[in-house]
Amino acid sequence: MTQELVHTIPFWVWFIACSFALIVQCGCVLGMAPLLTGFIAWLSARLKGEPSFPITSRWRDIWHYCHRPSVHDAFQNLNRLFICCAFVLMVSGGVFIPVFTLTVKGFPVPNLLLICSVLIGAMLMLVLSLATQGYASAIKVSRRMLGEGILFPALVPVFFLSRGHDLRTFLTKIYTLSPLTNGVAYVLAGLAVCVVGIFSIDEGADHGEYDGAVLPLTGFEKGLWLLTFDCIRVYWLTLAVDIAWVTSLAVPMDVLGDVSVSQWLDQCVEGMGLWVCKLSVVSLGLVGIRFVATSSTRIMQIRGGSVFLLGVLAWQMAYAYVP
Amino acid sequence: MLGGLGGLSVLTGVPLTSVDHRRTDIQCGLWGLVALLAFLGDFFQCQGGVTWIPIFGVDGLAWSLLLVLAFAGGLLCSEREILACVLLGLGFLVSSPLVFGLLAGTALALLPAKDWKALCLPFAVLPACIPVDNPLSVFLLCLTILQTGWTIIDQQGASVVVPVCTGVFLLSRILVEYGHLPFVIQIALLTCCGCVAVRGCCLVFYANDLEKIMRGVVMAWYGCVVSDLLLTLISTLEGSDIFGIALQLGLGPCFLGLLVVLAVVHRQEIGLFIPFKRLLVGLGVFQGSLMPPSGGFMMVWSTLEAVYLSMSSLKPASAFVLLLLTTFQCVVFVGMMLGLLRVVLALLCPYEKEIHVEKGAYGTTLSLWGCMGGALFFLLLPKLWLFLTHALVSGPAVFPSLSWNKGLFVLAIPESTNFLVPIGVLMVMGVVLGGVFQLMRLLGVSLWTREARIVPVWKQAMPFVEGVDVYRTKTENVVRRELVLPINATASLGGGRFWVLGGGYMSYRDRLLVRCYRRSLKVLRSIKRIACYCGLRCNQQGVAWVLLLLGTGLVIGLFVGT
Repeated sequence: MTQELVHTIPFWVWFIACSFALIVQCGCVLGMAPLLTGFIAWLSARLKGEPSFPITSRWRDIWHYCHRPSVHDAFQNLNRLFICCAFVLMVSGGVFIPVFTLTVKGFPVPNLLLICSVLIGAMLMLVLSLATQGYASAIKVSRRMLGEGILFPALVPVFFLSRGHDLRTFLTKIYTLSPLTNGVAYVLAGLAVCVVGIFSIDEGADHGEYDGAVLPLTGFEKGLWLLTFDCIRVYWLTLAVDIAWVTSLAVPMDVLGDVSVSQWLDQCVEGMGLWVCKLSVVSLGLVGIRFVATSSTRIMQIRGGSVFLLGVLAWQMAYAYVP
Repeated sequence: MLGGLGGLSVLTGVPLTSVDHRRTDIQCGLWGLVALLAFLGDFFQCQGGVTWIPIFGVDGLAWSLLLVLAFAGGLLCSEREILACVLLGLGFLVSSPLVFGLLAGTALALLPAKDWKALCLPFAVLPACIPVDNPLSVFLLCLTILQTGWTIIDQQGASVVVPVCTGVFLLSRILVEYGHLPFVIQIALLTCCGCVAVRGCCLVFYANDLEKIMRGVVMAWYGCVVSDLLLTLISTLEGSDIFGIALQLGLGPCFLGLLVVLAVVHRQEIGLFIPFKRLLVGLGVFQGSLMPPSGGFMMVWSTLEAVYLSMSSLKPASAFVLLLLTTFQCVVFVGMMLGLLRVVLALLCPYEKEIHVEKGAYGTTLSLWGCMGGALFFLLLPKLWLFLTHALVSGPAVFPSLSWNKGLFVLAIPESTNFLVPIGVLMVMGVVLGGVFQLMRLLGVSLWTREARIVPVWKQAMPFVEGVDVYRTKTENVVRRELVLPINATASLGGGRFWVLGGGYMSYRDRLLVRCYRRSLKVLRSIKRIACYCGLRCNQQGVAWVLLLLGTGLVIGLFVGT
């Protein structure tokens, strides 16, 4: 009876359901990202034996800054433009990254190259808003721009793994692969993408690490900057865990055979729970990075090299199975 | 029309006194007509020779490059550059390679170049004048790539189009005749492209002048485009045809956008309203960047698609080399994008001094908007541009269907199921933008009407103090530029500096080596001085010497060929 019901549901209903799911996923990331940052700060402070803020402190910061007037600056409008562009790009690219469910076949989804390009573009826009703060700040920003930009060529081997397919097709193709045998290459690829998120340099952390970086913005700009940064990091981590463990995602009609609506909804709830668990595990890596006392330049070099080498390794292993 | 443009650029003074104040407008109008004619000729695939002047003949390649040349021609401001552009356009329309060599060589001789480059530049067209089976041909092709690439450094504004179009036209014509080349020759030619691209990237990072940065960007772009051309025409890869799509897209929206930025940067006093100028620069930078769905992004997308297809039939070692080559190309693109960001920061920041602008010619402004409009038009209709420029890599194309799936709006790759819809990407971004604004309105957060708390400058918390005290050593204008354009900052990420010839005790052998080194330096300096003197004399004597030398080269080429 349920199977028959699935077949009677027209495509446009699935289309609307998937669109709604994308909006819910986007909302999940927007709500969860500052909480994750707060959790990382809380955990690292606990492990260091320092007094800690509550987990919701990052959300409070963002809310507080969004309702404060900005300090007048000659670059205020320019900064707003850059940060708003970053936010729009982040949402445009990230909304297609599956958080707990894949989309239905026929739903327009971009490929990995386009999504990663948009996310890197958003990161560059965020950095650009720091470039207008003066001579010394601009030196650091130039290095940051190079560090963020170099992610694009570093991710080229990972792009090759997807073979140009859109993200849904790519994840569907690796859905049945075992992460221990023929799918291990994709676990490595996920690790490569995960490094991008883990080694993100948080200018707004106000903890003084990484060359004493401080976010020199005020008011609404600072609030939006912090939110965008957190979301971009969560999107990188989500993309990474999707590639590494795709079976944790829900599958709607026609992805891998017929699935009933109730089954799909159950899988969605399960996938959301698993997503929170996966992010919690990955956040341990982020906490670990906070204990590594090194400069932001060094971190960017390590990040670029690691992403490229892991990607090449993953590509070579995948090439052995599917030349 | 080209003849009229040429005459208008040569004739000055008494004969044209009455229209002197409208000279720019007339030139821009004529360039617009040339562009329209080239578009129509290319669209309807007009080909063949002219019966009453047998030396002239057109084909798809000539129309395509004439279209690009016409877009750039309207942006030129110097009569000498316009004449060079006209000569090159006529060169595209002739059917004889020797006459093309003479016309293109003269065009290159008219371009500004420094020292020995002025002397050597016209010889970049020599491969057109000798048979392809000549043993010197490949060597001369390498020199052509290097010369046309390196001369971009010396060009001003949109005149970079002359060496770029010369190089692409020449290589496209000659490499089609070669067919597949041995692997070593492929590597040699690709290395030349890499040298050009790396030099451009270095210029992007080290230059402290906006125009130099843009020249570096164009140089890096040229290296990538020529490498795509080489991979299309001489490689034995399975998906080599797809590299041609990357080349076509590179010459389209991406190059037109870069030309607009170059023209705006070159003519700071251009009679444009400042917000319009910033809009033009922003759109031009977008076209050259890696941000989807810009022309640069489409170029990279096509390259990666071509590599996907090529890798399926390659051995692992070859596939790995191809992977490294693609990564290198992406690094070059990132370098280009960082250069463009430096330009954006300098042009969009409020530190820019408001120059008193006199009302400029309407033609120049219209040319800028026309070029940018063309870039956006071909960005949204990529299949139309691919149809128009199909002759760059192969014969005439079939007109694309008008259906949505495989129609004009879709960039689709043959033999692949993947496609890109630029207008779709823009629509998604537009929807997100609208959604964000609506959400902000619902939350009561306004973007542009918030009150700003004004505090004194000393309270605005400058968190970092390091580096030299630029405030005392430089003028105000320069200081303000450096505030947003740190020189050499990015280069220090890669490592330290190189120290040559440190002090200390040296053995007799080392001293001998140092002496030889110094003497060789003296000899090199003398040779360079002679070359510079020759170049200077050539410049003083107009193009007569250059034409003479070029003619000698042609005779020698023919003699060697026969």
